Amino acid sequence: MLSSLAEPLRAHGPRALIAGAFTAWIGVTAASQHPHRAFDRLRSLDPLGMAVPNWRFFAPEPAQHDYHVLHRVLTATGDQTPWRETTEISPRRTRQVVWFPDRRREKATFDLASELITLMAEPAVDLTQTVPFDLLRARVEQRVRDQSEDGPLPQGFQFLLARHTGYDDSGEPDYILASPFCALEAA
Amino acid sequence: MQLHRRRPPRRSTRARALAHRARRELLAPAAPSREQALRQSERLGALTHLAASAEYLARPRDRRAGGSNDWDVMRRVAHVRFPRFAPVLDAVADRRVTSALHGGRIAAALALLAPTPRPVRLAADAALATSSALLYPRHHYGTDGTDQVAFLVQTTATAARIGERRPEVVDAALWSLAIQGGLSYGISGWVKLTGRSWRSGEALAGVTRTRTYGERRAWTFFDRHPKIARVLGAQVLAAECLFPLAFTPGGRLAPALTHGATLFHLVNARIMGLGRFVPAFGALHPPIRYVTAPQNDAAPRDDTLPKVVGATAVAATAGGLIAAARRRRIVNSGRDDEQTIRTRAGNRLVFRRVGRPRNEDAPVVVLEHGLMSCAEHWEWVTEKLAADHQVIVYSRAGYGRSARDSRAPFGFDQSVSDLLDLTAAAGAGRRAVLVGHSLGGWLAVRAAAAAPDRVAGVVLLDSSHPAELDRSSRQAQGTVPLTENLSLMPMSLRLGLGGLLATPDWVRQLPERVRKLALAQYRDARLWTAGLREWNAVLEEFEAFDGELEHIEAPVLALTAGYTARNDPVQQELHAELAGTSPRSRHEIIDGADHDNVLFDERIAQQTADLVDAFIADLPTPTREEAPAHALVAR
Repeated sequence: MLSSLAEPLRAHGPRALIAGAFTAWIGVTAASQHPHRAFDRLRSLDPLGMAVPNWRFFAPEPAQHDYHVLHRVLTATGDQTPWRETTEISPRRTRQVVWFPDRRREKATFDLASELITLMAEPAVDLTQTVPFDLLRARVEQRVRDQSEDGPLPQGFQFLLARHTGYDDSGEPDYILASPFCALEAA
Repeated sequence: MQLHRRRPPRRSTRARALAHRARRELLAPAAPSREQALRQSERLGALTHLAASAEYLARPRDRRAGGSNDWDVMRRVAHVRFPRFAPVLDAVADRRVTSALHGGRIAAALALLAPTPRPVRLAADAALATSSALLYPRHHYGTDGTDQVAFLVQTTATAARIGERRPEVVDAALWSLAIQGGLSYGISGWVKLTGRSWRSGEALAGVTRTRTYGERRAWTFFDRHPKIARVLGAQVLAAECLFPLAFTPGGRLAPALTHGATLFHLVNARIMGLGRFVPAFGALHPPIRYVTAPQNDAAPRDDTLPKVVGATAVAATAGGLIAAARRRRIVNSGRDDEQTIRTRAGNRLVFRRVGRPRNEDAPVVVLEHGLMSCAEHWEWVTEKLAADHQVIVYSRAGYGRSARDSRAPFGFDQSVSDLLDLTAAAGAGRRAVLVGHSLGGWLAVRAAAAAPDRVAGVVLLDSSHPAELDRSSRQAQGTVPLTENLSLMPMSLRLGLGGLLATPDWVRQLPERVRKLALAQYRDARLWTAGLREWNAVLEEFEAFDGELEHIEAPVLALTAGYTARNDPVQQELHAELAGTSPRSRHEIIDGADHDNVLFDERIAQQTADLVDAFIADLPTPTREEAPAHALVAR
């Protein structure tokens, strides 16, 4: 009896496997696109976060704000500088259609800010111990060190995460998060 | 496929020939063959990988200290999420290995762009697919949709190249890419329809005003011409939502739709700086053109996959509806020891009476749950309190087995009158101590004000206050997203999508005996229908609140969860105000508690029950007078 199964299995087995695999991939994808992310349970099947595509581009709500990281420095002499932007968002240029390496960093700022905002809603989390906070703090620290290369090392800095409506200047920025004072040690 | 060849006009200049070709391509283009579709798709995917890797190599600073992809910081989370892959990810994240991998990816991409034989193409596809997967965690911050599409394309191409000798395997692969392509546009469009900004037409202006994804001149134009912005936005919606029409039999719409999509991506590339989207999504177009072309007897195409996918979709939908029906049965069967009353308003309330009163003067404890919850959320507190008191626990009309049969328009005065009716009927003449959580706290306060002779005391557990949407910016900010999310829940659950809701943590924290029921209620549409109704009433009534809280005669114990006090101090003030409506009140903070675990965490629920117990013990009996001062105590 087994030998009579072998022939159709060899003929149809691989096809069924391939069809099954593609169907499963499509099925899990289709079932993970609800506007409300609470329904994304099947995404846990994809540990990398890349295998189940997210087709909800700028949906349900598009991004309508920029996130800005600002910092101010306590100099070695005890003076406090005004707030300044840590990194500027690149202005739009035509060459970005084919070559735009800074896009990754700007998207990363978005990702880090979104993650911090989500973490802020969880009651028991200490934000200063989270990865997004640490990455932002390190980015500011790097900038502060770079900018004070030919002078004494500042005592420390503080940074701020703000959200603003881009080219639309009509409103005030939203201040989302202010860090505690971060001391600088000699490298 | 036979091409209907036209003879070129006699005096054809190069421009006319070109225009002729362009017109033919747009109106009656030749669909690619199987091998052409695979090759074109493979190459466009490779181009995406090439651009991505080149861009990464151009910014090594992003991977050093201070960069968004500094693995020394990121690895903390990765080690928790992927404990088994940690050594591999660490090895890949080494800066030299990362650079080498990106260099290899560029080489593999070039191999695919060049005319190379099958074994080389297979190896290159596999290398791009595997390296994408390995590198994704270490580049996590900054990744976008093109990384997912490019992975999809190269992985599918690998499968197609492996099974290349069997045409049905390649056809299945191309169908898979085509369907994913159709899904990508269709879902993007239909989900946009659920967003307020897209429906109102503000979305295009909103996006183009950002420096990250917009462009100054485009925004200025849309700002000055909002009608044009609305029309263009509607066109984007229409084009995306209708894209799946490319798959209609005959496939005549496919060329126009894919060309339109390419144009859309090109415009986005220029205005939004999303260049990589052009080759990434472009890679999905050749498969779409191939599968939508009419069948050709000389080279038949295997169309099994869409039928399998369709059948699976039907089966999954049926399965979802069956599961929803099963959940409804569980919700309707409730607990073993339930009783029912009908209230003056016409609603049917199902309740449980647990435990026995200490003596004939002892008050009965009535538990009032919050918004979008049910009786089972009180299970720990009920268990602890029932040791020494008679506890009445129920679900409000519309939740659990309780039915909202009343035809009158809904307002919280109905919920309050229901609560008082229940207290009278189930309390058998005893006075009641009302314990309310969240919204239930507000209802308890109103009930105590409405029927002072029947309420012996009120305990407020992280209660709502009608001014909170006004005075707490944290509460106010949560309002709009909550309304939008809530409005989709009932319909989604009725369509059988309940199984896609992950089991929430609080279900696992509840006692084992109620977990199945609690989870079934959470995934059933009724809870959310009732929740949406109550939430709309909250928005209406809290907005209309005039600032005057009614005076309560009974003693009040207000409890604030520790994290609520810390994260939103305004809430703590509001709780104190609620306590202050009574001449005899206390206000305490439960350390280590948050708004939810005050009920769900067994240890904290025990603390809550102890506080209620002590409060009841201190209650004056009707003959004695006592007046403890208003106090704020941290416990």
